[in-house]
Amino acid sequence: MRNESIKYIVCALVISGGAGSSAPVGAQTTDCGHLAVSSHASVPTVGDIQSLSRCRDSGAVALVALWTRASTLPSAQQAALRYASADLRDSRIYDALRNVANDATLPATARLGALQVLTSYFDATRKVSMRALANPVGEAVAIVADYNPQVGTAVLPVTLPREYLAQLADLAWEDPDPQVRRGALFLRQQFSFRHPADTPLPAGAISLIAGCGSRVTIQSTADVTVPIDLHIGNAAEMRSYALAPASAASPARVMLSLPPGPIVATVGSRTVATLPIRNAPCHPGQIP
Amino acid sequence: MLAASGPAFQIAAAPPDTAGALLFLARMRLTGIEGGTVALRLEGLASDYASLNQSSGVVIARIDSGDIRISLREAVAGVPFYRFSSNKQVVVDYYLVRGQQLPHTQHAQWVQDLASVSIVNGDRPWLGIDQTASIQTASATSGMSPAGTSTCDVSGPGPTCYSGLSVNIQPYYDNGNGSFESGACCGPSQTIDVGFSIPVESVTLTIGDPDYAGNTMTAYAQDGSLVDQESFIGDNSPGSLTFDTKTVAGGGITTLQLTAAPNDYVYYLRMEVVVGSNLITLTCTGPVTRAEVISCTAAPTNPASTLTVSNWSFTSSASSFRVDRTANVGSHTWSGMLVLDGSIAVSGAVDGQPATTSAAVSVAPRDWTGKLAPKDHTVPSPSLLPAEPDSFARLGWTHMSVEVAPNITAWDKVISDGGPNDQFEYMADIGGLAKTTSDVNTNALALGSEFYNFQEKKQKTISGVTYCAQAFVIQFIPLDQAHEGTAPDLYPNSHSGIFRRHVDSVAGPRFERFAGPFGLAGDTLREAIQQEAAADSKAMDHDSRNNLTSVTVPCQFHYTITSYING
Repeated sequence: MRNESIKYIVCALVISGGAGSSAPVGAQTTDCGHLAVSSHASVPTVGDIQSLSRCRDSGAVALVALWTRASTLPSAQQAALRYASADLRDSRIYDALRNVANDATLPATARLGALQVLTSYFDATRKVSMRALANPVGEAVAIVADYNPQVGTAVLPVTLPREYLAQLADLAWEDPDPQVRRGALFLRQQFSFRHPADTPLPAGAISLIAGCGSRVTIQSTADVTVPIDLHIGNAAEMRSYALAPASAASPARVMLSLPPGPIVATVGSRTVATLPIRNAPCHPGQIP
Repeated sequence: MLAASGPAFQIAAAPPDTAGALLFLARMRLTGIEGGTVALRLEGLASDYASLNQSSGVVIARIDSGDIRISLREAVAGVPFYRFSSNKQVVVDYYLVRGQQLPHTQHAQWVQDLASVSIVNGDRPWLGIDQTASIQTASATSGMSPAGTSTCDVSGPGPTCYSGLSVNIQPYYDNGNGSFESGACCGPSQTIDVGFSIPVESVTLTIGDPDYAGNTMTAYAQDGSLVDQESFIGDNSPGSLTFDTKTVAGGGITTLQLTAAPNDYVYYLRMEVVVGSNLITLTCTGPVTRAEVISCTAAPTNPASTLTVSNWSFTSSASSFRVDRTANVGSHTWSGMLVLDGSIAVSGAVDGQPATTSAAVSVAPRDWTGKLAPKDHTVPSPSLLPAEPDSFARLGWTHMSVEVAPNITAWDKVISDGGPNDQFEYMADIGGLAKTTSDVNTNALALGSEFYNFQEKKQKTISGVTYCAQAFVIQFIPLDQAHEGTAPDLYPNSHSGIFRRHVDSVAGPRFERFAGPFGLAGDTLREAIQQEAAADSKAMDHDSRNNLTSVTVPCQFHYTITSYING
């Protein structure tokens, strides 16, 4: 039994709600039409905004409308908007969130709030706090227990993971707002090594440098943790390393002693560097 | 000369070989003119003759399928046993009859005396595998190869051709002619230990008459670690003389153990020792506990030689991380903190000859028993959850993460001592903060809340479903707190409690061994711990640790129901 009884509770109520007939006397219902109207108030109540997530169609429309003026809302209403939006996974809200996150004319708080919700769209088991986005020092994106968001009527695109990670890269690299750049970089670094295939890397960020004898140095200037697979000797042998975030000014370098043969470096199955010839000279007396 | 008698007598007399069987000594193809003669003589030192004369041993010369039996006593005096009746070639096979009472003479030899007869060719296995009459002694051959290695043939204990290298063999019995064995006479051979005064690169050894499986040659380093082992191949045919040659190599060999197969008689010859890359002797302290200082010192293997060091290098056993020494490369000592197992190599020149050697170095983990991850736990107040929950899932949740532990400089260390692990990062403490946030929806679970008022006044069953009374809304709060873990220490089987305990169970050993070049990512370690600890915690929703069951929650709440009329 255990938790199944709880699931029965939820399921039974959803079914009865759908039928609209089994509610107990005095049952409270959400009037989505009313909520849609009330959401147009200059400052909707926190409860009304939170309740919008229960309206799988009109709630999404109302939430999209609220995101267009999110920065004008008090902080409690903004928090309720983020909560309700994360709770209703809908592609219309997703598009609105992307627009808000990209809009450099908006305050950083609203844009980081959009990134917070987008993060939960990217991975429903994850929750990043606004504090972490604003000041991402030593923070991590938490994993959530006992959280089951609802699905809106407009299904999220299957390209969402790739789009999300690409948007993070764009914001981290090019956004004029340093707060947004920092928040996006934090998220990018949190997910890069778990999603290497979809994480954009600057061209030439990874390089292989041959040294004397068996020496090979992997160098990364990427701003994220990069899981690199080295395929050695025509892929006869593979070794894996994860290099820390770095920059062109301060690259991450790791010198290795590898078996002979050409080397191909891949990140998430993408070839990022090759070292076909390893004939670097040795200094006199240098151990090969 | 046909054969050296010592080993032959040993084998002929050694159990468990079958008495009466023939032991092959030699085959000679001879060409002679009419009247030419062939004689057999057993030649030895004066001290040998007494025992030879008292022996009942018999040797057989077989010509054209005819056997001529010659006693050892006759052979001592020399026995002409064949005369050519015409100009022709003949083949003479010589055998020793086994199981006889035979003397053990180190220096006696079977000699074939020929008159008007010459040798066409011959097979004389008892003279060694190359069928030459002499086996080089230690001082007879030596040389420096182009690669800077020196080779010595060793036939017995004592100094060798390489200055500084002497050999100890125990037990040792000189069989003469450069061969040796474990005992003076007869019976199964015993284990022989061979010690070298300085480490050698490799040893090549020939074994005589290995019959059974189990004849081995094992090389050990100075610290007793195994360097290499080889098994000699036996022919499974007692009485049939065969030889096998094997090489043990790997460098740093200071002891050789020659183990004979059970009930097998063997002897050894042609021990060739290479003093090669070990022109340099590299001695390292340790093993050490991780992050302790190790020190390696290079010295010429031959104390009389001069060593010039040109480079030092470290390669880790796992992941093949490489460190080259960049300062004071000519020093004969390289010291520094060690955080990973690996190998230290030194190169240079000994008396102008290029030389390289290496030594394994290892670390033992630090005792981090009882070391726990730092914790951070939050209970939002007021609750962040909605006052009008639409499902059970809105009554509580827990966020779990492993973040970078505070005070990073206290636990994240980078070695900067110019040593073998220079610029390596290692952990001085657990670098992960177990962070949890447990939220119980006290916006809804409160006396007089809308959610409270929405419930039945008394527990009621409607259409077979038991609905909770308003009073249970308050009673549910401690159940929810215990499930989410608002006080993790008080509720160890809550979401937060399980997460924290799991982090504690794995963080110590994993952070303890995390080490490598600065530039490796450490967040992968934290992420991995976070993933598995969270999975453990979330599994509680489906197991018996602290789930909210039909017993603990004997009824269902009413939730706000969405109307789709306008939805």
